[in-house]
Amino acid sequence: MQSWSLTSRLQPLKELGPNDVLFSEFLVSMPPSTRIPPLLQPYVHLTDHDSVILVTSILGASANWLLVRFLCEALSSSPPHQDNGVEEDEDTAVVLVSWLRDWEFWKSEARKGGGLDLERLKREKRFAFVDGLTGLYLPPEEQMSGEQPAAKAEPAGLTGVAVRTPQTILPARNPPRDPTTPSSPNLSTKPPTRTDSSTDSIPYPSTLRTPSLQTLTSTLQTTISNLSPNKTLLILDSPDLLLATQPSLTPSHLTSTFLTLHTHTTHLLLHLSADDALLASSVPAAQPLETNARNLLVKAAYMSSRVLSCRALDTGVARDVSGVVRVTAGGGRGVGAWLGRERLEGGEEEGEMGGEFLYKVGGDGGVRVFERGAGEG
Amino acid sequence: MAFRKRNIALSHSGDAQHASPTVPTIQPAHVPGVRPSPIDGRPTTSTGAPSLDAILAGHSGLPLGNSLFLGESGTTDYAGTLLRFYAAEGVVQGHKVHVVGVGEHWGRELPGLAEDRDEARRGKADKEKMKIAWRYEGLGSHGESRASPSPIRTGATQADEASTVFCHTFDLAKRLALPVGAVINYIPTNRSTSSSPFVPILQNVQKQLASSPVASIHRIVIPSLLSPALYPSAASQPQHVLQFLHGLRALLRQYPTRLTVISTLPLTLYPRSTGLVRWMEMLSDGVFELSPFPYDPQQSLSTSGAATQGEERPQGMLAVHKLPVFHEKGGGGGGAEGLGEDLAFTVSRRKFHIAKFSLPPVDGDQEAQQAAVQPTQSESKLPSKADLEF
Repeated sequence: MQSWSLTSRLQPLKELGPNDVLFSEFLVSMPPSTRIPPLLQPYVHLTDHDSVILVTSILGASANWLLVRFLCEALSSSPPHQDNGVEEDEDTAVVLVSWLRDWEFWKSEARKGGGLDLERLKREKRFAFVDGLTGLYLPPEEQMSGEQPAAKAEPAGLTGVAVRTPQTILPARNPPRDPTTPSSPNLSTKPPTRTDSSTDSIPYPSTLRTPSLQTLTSTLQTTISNLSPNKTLLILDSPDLLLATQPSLTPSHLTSTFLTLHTHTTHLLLHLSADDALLASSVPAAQPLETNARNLLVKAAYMSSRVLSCRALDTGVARDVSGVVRVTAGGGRGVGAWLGRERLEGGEEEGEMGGEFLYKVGGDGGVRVFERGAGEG
Repeated sequence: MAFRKRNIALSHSGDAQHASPTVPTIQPAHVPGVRPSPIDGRPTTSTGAPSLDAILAGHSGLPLGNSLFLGESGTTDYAGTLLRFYAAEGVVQGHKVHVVGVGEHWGRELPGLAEDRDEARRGKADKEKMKIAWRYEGLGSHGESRASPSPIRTGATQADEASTVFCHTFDLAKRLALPVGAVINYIPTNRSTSSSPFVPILQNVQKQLASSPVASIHRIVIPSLLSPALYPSAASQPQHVLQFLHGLRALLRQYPTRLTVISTLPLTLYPRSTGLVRWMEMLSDGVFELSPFPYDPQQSLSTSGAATQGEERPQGMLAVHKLPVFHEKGGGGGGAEGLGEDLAFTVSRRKFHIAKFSLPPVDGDQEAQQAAVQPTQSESKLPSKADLEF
């Protein structure tokens, strides 16, 4: 474990042993959430210093379950490290920005896979969701004359920053979405538009209306400032979509935005896709889409201190294995210099821990992570 | 006769037990062509091809609020056949069907219902049901149990079943007579524009969804996305097509119980190895790839081999790259039988059939053929021979 000389509160870290000590302590001191597989625990654990974590996935092996584990680790209300004298009641807050998945998905996955009640956490100001899917490229609905004035009036104050979307059916959220009753969300698709202005007072879930990075930054700044705790994990789920859909963006714009955002949070988790098709240039000539994706991914890997990549099993599809997760150290150990922070020469290297495990996502949302050959036949 | 009585008694008690959990879930919906998934109860609808329904990660249908993306290489249009089944199923079920990019001629070519065969098959199924022992009846055959809504339902009355058919059988040789007050909404593409041709499409669908009753189910059919015959060249720029697909995904999530989408893409023009297509796949919920076999009248697969006996010759391979819901959760949730298997598809007049592919033994290879024809015999005989010699 590396330590930064960020604040004095990090000093006690030096007394800590290397990672394995920390890990064993971890197991003893708190009953680790059973939702997180023990093998994965040290890699999902958020360090006490600032860090950037990169999670990659490919088409047939999504890393959503892994993000849920990070949510779980950060949000499960545990009193960690009481005996260390570090901040005891320090809660971690999480801001999740998702460009490819909706709130309903994350809510149900977090409930099933992580046992988290995100609605409650949201009320406790420990969690915020920023929706980058439903409002981004869907043309605003002019035909719904009911909420059009309201929708127009609101952004004036917020300068289009965190406009509560009219169509994200908030009232339907209060009961957990039961997929067996298809009509219930239907019924509420229209009525909630009237409550639009009232729900606008709630700062989240906010919806990104434009793909611009300035909007993103300002939205997140307001969102983060609304959260109570001082330790924050910002999860950006598939920000590379912006790169793919906006030709004017460059990877440098995105990475500098990442770093700006990181200054507001303690931890930053990036979820990017690492498909071959996006990384290897296609045969005749590499398209800008591909070079941009590759540049972004490489930059992100250099920025981050830990890289967790999900991929499909190399040998084909197996019934009892969903995929392979590989944990490596990123290039981000020098990132302190970038950020204008000097880095302490701790003897511990995060890179020493790493490995490759198989995982199996169960139907109930539970995940089993095991070494190769250790699966239950 | 004791047989019969037991059967009746069992089905009644089964109904009584299962009616409480299952029926209420169907009841509030009361939407034709929608049934809860056997895995997690989310509402699903049929793609119009039972064998495609069967490989959708155990949901026995396409979960509402999800999209399928079919890529096809070559110049054939097998994926288009699937689309027509999908559209025709929607028309028959009374769903609202939106067809993007092609004109009304496409809708006029939808396959009609194959009723006579359907009736005959049902009669046959009834007859067969008499022979099957009552306790195995619920299991049915492999395909049968998927085609019919659920094992419990087989005990229900025939009339009830007829009124709630989940997936109809279509006949490609017939034409579907569209009901009056055409249920198909043709959304044209503006080919002259240099800006995104997709924005009006999204607006159109959005308007239709917002203005239609909340119980209505919508299907969006996108044949040959980005094909130069239908779309302007600007459409294939990433910012246009990917923004469209992202908007479509947003729309699907916004109406999670009302909308499904199936689109096809000519893979020869847009290979899967490009980042653009990969992004299109990532923005879809299910991804399939059809690779038709090159047509060769000379070459026909062995008919003598046991593997292909009684089977139609497959017309191509079908690769499953991503399944709706299943992969979004990280590749869990049970029942992805088709995943990782070599699947082949056969299009005949009445069905689009997807089955495991197996190469037959080569013609003239007598030993292999013999072995293929009588594997069980040789297996059972060999040890006995050895015993005798010893």
